[in-house]
Amino acid sequence: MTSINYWGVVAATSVFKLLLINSYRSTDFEVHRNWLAITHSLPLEKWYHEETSEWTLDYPPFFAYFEWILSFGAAAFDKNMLDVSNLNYNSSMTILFQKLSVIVCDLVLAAGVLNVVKALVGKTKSADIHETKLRLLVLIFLNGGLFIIDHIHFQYNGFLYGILLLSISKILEEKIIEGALLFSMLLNLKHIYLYIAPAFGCYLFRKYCIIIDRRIPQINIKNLLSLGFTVVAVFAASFGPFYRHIPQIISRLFPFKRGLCHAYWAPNIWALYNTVDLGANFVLKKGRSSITSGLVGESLMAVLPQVQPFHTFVLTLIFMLPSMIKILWQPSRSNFVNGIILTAWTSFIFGYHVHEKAILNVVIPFALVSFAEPKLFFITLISGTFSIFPLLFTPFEVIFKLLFCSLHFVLSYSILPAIKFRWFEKLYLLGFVPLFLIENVGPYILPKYPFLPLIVVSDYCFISIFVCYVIFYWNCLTKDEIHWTITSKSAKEVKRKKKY
Amino acid sequence: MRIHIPNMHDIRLITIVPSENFVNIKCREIFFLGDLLELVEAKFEFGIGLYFVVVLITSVVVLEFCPLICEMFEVICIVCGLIGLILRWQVATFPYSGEGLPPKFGDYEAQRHWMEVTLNLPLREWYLHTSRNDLNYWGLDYPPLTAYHSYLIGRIFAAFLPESVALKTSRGFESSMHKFMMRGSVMISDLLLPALLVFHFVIKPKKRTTTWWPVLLGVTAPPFILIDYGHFQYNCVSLGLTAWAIMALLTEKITLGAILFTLAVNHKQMSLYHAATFFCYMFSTVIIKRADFFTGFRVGTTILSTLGLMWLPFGDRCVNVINRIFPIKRGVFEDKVGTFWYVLDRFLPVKGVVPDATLARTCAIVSVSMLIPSAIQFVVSVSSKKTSTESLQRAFLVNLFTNSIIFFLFSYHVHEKSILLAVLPAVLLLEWYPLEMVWFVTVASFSLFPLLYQEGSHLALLLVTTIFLLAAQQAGVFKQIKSKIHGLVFLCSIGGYLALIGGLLYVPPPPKLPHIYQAGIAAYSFVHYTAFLIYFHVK
Repeated sequence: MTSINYWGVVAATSVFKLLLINSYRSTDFEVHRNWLAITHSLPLEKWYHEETSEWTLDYPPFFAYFEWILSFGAAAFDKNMLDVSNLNYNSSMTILFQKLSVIVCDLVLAAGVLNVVKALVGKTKSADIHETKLRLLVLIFLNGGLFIIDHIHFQYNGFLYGILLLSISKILEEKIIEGALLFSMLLNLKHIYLYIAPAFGCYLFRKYCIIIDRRIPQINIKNLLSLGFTVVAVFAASFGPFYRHIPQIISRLFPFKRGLCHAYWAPNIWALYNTVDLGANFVLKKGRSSITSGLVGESLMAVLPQVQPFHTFVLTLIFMLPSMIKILWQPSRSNFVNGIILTAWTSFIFGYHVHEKAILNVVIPFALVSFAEPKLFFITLISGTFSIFPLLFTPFEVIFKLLFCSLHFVLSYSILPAIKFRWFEKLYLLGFVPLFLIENVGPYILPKYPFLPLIVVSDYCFISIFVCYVIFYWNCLTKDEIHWTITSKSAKEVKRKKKY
Repeated sequence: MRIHIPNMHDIRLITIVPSENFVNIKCREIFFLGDLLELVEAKFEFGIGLYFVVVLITSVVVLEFCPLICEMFEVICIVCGLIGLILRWQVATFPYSGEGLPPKFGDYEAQRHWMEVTLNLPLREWYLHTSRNDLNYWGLDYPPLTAYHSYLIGRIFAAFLPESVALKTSRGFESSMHKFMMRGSVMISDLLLPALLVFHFVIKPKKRTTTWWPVLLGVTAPPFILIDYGHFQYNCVSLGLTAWAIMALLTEKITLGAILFTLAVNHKQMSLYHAATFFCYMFSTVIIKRADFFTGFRVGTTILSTLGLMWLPFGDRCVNVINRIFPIKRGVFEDKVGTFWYVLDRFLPVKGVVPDATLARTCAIVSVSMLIPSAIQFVVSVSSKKTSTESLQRAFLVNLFTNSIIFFLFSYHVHEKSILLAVLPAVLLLEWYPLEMVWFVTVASFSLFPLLYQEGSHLALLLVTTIFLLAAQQAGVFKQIKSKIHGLVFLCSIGGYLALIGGLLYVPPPPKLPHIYQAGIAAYSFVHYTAFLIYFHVK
């Protein structure tokens, strides 16, 4: 146990990732290749206007810069991948470069885990720190869902979550400006993190800019200005060079024409809403609905009223408010972390056009408090990861997703404090076994209804994700200070944990 | 789903239609035992019988090993098992031997072809050169259990992908779904992985500290993964049977061990490399040490009846089978292998000069005489009543290890893959000799480099070996390197391989010697194997 070396595990994991080089790649691979080509071969002004490929640049400018930097490495591997018109180009060197870039960027995540542990545990015995590091490494760095999305499906999430963790660790260490700097950079890398921005905003504002002087809150102008300046400076650095194209960028970043749900429904409230609509339509035969076309685009409800983006915003905001107020009321470290989880979770459940991958926004910060709520964490982990499964459907990858995620579940279960499940919880978890069969064999048995297994998966996962959300929300609001450090562990379980 | 076996048709007609010839035909048919079975086959489906046998064997093994299999539900075993499965499946995504290389393809096509042959032809034709079975095109050259195994898997293929096992028309069949099913078929017949998982819980040195690392190193040992899931073979079946046989023997289940080992030999004749050790062990424990002739008789009859069960269906055609299994014509070594004869051939050409039969005899004599010293020592130590169980177990595994190296180095018609036979005891000995065995397994993996380079899966080899070495490092194996000289020797040995591999990948060879690096790796491995052989003999 003590012989296990943190970076040794990271290195071994990286080799495992590289071994996936021959496996399936989704269209996201081509998306990122195209972005490499755009940023490398076109002048800055054209980045957000270029549309030779259907996969236009729709991430904020920092990510574009990031791709631009990567493209110099790409040029050393294979220059042809940097040609904008070279659509769907996938030479072996291109694949090697792109996969390697994800693996190398993932080291940021490993560093993030390390820093978060330092911030969380503080000054304790070094053996404790070492154990905690390994535990969080397992829970976050080896996350099965993250693994299959980044290294099979192809995205750079690990790197982004690394920056998120770094920013959380800085804020927990009271290095507020550094933390704010990192988080604003993160927002400019991928705007999905706007979901959790309210928690950061409330905490930073309350903690750094407000002083309670004899029960009267006062604003610390100096701190407010320095915080504001940091954030504005980062945004200026990001959007500044594009000042003439900002409306174009905004239209790329927030495409409201894409429909309430993604092609595959993320397990949120709208998946249930769609299901009800489908069911009602099936019974009433009112008209053709287009929600099951499996395409990204605006869709029409057959029976129930249409949901507009505005409605989802209002709902999301209403349900976020309690957690934000809690942060403003009691700006403690645990409320901050809980706030991040809750805002991410709320926007996952009520948001407009949510991707199934966004559940990682919940699961990854949740790992930080997993020792306080092991059961909730474990169930969310399983159903959240399972809801990502439909992303991979080719035969080889079906086995991969099963193996990687089971490994992560087993490891997580063995390092979390002992969980006692009640009978219905056990029953629910066992239900995932037939669900896996339905999901992967169903399309062969019922080729007429390819969408049916996916609906079943969404709705089944939604049950636990929603229930866990409610319970966790309640616990966060009612308990004053959740005992949330990761170090409380019985010695016996520590012994059972091994490499990986 | 019932597969129609074409040849059965006419026989069935004969048996059903009563005619004057009927009796004659029937008499003649019965005269040949094989043909009798064919008649039975026509009535009851041969497959059902086979399934029955498989289920029987499995259930006996499962019952016998019940407590051991329960060990598998330990967290360590589940985690290591999943890691092993992941690695295997990752290597499975790499190209197989002969992928997209008509007309001859590779071992993958051979295995597919065997399914086609066993599924479509009557049993008596499996090992015969006939108009329907061209033995020059990947004819069956493994013992009957491999053929039965191919038949069973072929039935699964016939149910899901019938065109991949159609007679003649399916030659060179390749598709991504087929690759998936073929890789899957290796995984479902992998008996080795569970054996490696439980072995270190069953047989262990007395003063043990942690148990995770030998299990992890066992499941990540690269040669097994690369040959079975990369190159494509079913060594995991025969090696797995051997591993279970070892476990049975060392836990005093001698009869079961004998059956399992006989099955292993009947799956791949290469398992005979291990036979000497098994024989010496059983003979000296049962006959010499305990003078228990009844058990001796029982073991003997079980072995014979297992053999009989395997070979009976072939009746008088066993000779054909044996000729196919031990091919004298195919030369003393295949391609570039790190054996004694290959290295000798570099300096003093023997292959093609000395007649094959003479060479084969020489090989046999040399290998057997090399076995004798260690065999005598082994028999003495086993027979002595003072030897503790633990040192007995170690002696058994060490003897298995040295014997397989001797056979690899000196026997006839050796493939580079035969080193797997030595890697198995090496992996099982990890807990006793961590450093030596990690070293040996690494050397064995690198020696396979030229083979995998041919297929374009050399990246998999390098990566899996890296994982293995990282796991060894995590286990603290390299902390055992006490002196700087040892460390230097180790580094030089690995560095030498890396230099040769780097040369193969990046430095074009001189035009006169196009295979200089492959030959270099073979010769370098030969030096290593010899060194390991001497080291373990001295020890």
